[in-house]
Amino acid sequence: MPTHSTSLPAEPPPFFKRGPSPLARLTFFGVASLTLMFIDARFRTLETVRMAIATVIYPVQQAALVPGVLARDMAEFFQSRTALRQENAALKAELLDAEQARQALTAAQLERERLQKLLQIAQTGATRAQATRVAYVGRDPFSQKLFIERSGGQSFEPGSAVVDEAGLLGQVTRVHPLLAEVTMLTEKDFAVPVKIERTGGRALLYGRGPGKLPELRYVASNADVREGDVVLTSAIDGLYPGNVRVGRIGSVQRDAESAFARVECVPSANLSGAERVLVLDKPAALPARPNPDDTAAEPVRRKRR
Amino acid sequence: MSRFHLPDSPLFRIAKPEDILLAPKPWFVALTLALAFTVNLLPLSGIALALRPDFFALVLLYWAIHQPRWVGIGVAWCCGLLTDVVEANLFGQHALAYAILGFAAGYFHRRVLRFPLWQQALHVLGLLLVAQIVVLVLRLMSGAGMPNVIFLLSSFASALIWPLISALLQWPQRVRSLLD
Repeated sequence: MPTHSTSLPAEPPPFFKRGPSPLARLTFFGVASLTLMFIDARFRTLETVRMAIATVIYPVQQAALVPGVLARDMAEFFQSRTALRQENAALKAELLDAEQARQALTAAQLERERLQKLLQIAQTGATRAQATRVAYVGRDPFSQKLFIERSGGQSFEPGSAVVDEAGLLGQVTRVHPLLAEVTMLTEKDFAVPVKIERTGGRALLYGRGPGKLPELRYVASNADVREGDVVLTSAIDGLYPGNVRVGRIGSVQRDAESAFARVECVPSANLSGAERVLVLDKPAALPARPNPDDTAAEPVRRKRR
Repeated sequence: MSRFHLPDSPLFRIAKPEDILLAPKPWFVALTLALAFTVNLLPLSGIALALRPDFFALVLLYWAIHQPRWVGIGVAWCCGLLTDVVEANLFGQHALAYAILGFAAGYFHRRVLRFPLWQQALHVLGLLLVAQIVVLVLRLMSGAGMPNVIFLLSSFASALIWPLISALLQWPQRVRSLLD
């Protein structure tokens, strides 16, 4: 505090000096926020700023997760032995099923590879999957986001598909140093190229925002789509690997006025409660050759062109 | 059954506007803001999230009303930016909403403190609803889908705990004033 002399100071005392008027300040900050919003929405140039702030805030975020983790640990600790034993038995049975299916799959894959080699179709290698866990569900009521943990060695790329044990959850949209943001497939106007397992018919799946089921758009009203059909990714976008389960057709409405049917799809992934997820790498633009004896086939193909 | 009474000690009463309290410590203001920010980050979802009061906005509003010279539009704006980063949404939407909160608090602070706590809570409810509606309009303009209306419940929950927050945040000041 400045000491006041008996004579009147030349300038008004500090408590009358309040800087620009509140309205001027509000206008300034209002214009600043609108500019930020515009830049963020149009040009996406603020990602570095966002990332820097996010990294600084990360410890605080982790601190906020502690109560949830503690509660989960406590619940696990007090889980009864019988419950665990039941779960163990169920998991073993599931594993047995899965193992059998995997053996069949291996055989089928080998056969497919042989056939593809015969037909000289470019082979698609196995997609690499990185396991991680969900840190928390996004709190923004307007969008459907999920935040997953990212440990040091994991290289997530924006655009990679994220799946849980039941099906496609969404897509990585931002990668922070220690977290990655996943946009879920129920996000408004989030598009996934899909195909129907039974017929192979391709379509586009569009999210419609929170609380609404995503729908298949531009499906002709005479197309062969039934309730209960399984929907898989079609891999024509180069982002998602093919044949990842997306969901089931929930309802099909055809009306005479529209050329398109209204097809709703129920996602099979656990969108609200997924805990452990896999991040699938994008399929390579030019698939690598699986084994060296393929190189012998290359000159033949060139000659043919 | 006798009704539950708080002990009749000056510690448990909220200061009237004519009471003069010592100014809060700056670190206490910063600490409470940081705590409120952390509490906002609790990983809730669904209905629990919709019912969760916006602690950050509440504490911000409290300090903007009680210490308008320290916490004004600028601080509120920066707090809004932090919120935007952690919620990974449009940069600047909460910044604008919180700046408006800061402005309104500065505008109303002399008036609001004259009212009893529950009427203050009504003022707070109005301000927070305005802030949420600003965010809603901005998001709809940027092309987001209409969210479930239950997200507005957060403002009501916040207004409900305003008396509690006021009592809590004033506690250290009252204790110090009594000790002096």
